[in-house]
Amino acid sequence: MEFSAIWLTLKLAGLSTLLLMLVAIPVSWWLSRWNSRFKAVVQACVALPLVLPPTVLGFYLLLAFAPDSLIGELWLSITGERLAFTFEALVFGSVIYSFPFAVQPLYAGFAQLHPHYLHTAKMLNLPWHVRLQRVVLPAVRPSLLIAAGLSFAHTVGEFGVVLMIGGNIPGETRVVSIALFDQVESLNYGSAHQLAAVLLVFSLFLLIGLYWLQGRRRLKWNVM
Amino acid sequence: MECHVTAQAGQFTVDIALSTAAEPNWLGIVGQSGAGKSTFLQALAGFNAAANVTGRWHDKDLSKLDHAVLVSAQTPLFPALSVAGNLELVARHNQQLDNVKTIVALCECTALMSRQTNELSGGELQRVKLARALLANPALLLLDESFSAMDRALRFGILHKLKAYLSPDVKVIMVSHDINDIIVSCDHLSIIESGHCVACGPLSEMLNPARGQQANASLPLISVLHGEIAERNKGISRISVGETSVKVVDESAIPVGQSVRLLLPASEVTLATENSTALHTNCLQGTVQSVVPYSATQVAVKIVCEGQELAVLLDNYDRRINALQEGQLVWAYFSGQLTLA
Repeated sequence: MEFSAIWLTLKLAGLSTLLLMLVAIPVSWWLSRWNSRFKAVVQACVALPLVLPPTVLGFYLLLAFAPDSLIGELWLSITGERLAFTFEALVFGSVIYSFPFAVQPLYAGFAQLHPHYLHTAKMLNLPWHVRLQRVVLPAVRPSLLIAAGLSFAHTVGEFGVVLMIGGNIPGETRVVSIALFDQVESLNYGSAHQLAAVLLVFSLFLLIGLYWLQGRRRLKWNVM
Repeated sequence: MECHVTAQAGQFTVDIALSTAAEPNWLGIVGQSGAGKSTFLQALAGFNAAANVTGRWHDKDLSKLDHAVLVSAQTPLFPALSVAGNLELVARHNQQLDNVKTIVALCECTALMSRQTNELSGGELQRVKLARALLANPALLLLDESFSAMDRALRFGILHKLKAYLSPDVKVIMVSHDINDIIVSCDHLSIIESGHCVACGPLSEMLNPARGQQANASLPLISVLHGEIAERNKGISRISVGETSVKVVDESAIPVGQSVRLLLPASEVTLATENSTALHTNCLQGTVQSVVPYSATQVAVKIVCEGQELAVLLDNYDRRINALQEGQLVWAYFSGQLTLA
């Protein structure tokens, strides 16, 4: 069993989910309150990784992470190391790749939050961080959990982007999906079966958990 | 007091200008559904960023009021918190933790503190919302149908306590479909129709216009008698009105000795030209001040009893009524089933 690949996958998915939540919460909040004719353009950009072949995304990311590109050069000057084919590159890639899976549930949750709650909290002189903590976040808690769960599951299932920007470096970029591909290439069907089963069972249970949560989503919300 | 609010709610434009010569403490607003009353209050509470508010009320500049607090269907409780959680959160951020107990008792919320917001009935919800608004330390309290789901005794009880609790610095605007709510608590009244203010003035003048002035058709003819609870026995209170007294069925918890208002609908009072032995609970002696047509079939007779004005609606096809003279001595009879607050 390739425990280092499993550990690396969990580390990648966990870190990416954490970063995604930090970025997606403010972005989805802003998107849910923003009205402009350019909104469709922004929404399309956010949703693009949903429909794009991962290789396309991976190809552009590979170019962006190259040492002679702006991002690659900046990374090199700050850390002294190359960005392409590293774990950090995979984290960057995953955040972009799973972005719509984090933003869409959060956007729906924020959009459903009636402005009366926000007006009322502001009228009652609650400071902004209290409004966020006591009014907004509790209202979207199911959306938060679904967004985090989907981001995690989607990052675990990532293959094309990793292959393009990470390669297959054990302990650095060799995640479970890559290891599986590698084992099949080498005709090690026994190991391939093990890895495939791990991914299948994990993803299934994660999704069951999320759908169960969504089923319970009818919140106690009849306070108008 | 002067106040001008313009706001847009969908296709509907609200342009309400209120002004009164005196400084009201409690201003009541009546008007039909959809007249713009709620939009007006929401604009004052800062709910409508596009609304334009100008004016002053006593020493308060209404355009930059940051303690205008609205209580309405549009101010939900926070569902993630219990009743106690809602109240304490607001109290803490308005430095009112010391007043929680008093306000909770005032709003009859003591038994509700441990409940969740989704377990409350309509009337309970309104009481908790009122308590939360009071804990936000309002300078201007805006009540939009805030008592509609409470029964009369509870409503008038809370209104009475609220009037005693609020300092005179706190100004109140109250919207209600029940004119009685406004009569028992407000000193000024404004009528709003299709997004505009059509009349505004002291309550007594609005309800009971002076001779020659037409009463507003949307207001019922109701007299307000001021008195004091002299004693209460088995649910019947004796209210002293000047030199005489009247007996009223009284379910309120207003302490004996307090001054109260008695609402006397003009259609429920009858007149006699001699002091008879009619089997009515109450009788007040007065003199006729005026007799004016009220509708096609009714006349409004104004009489003065114990220095207070009383309106009586009578059918105009009785010749004896047309024979009433100004200054004539009359007796007004009415039952003890009256609203007291």
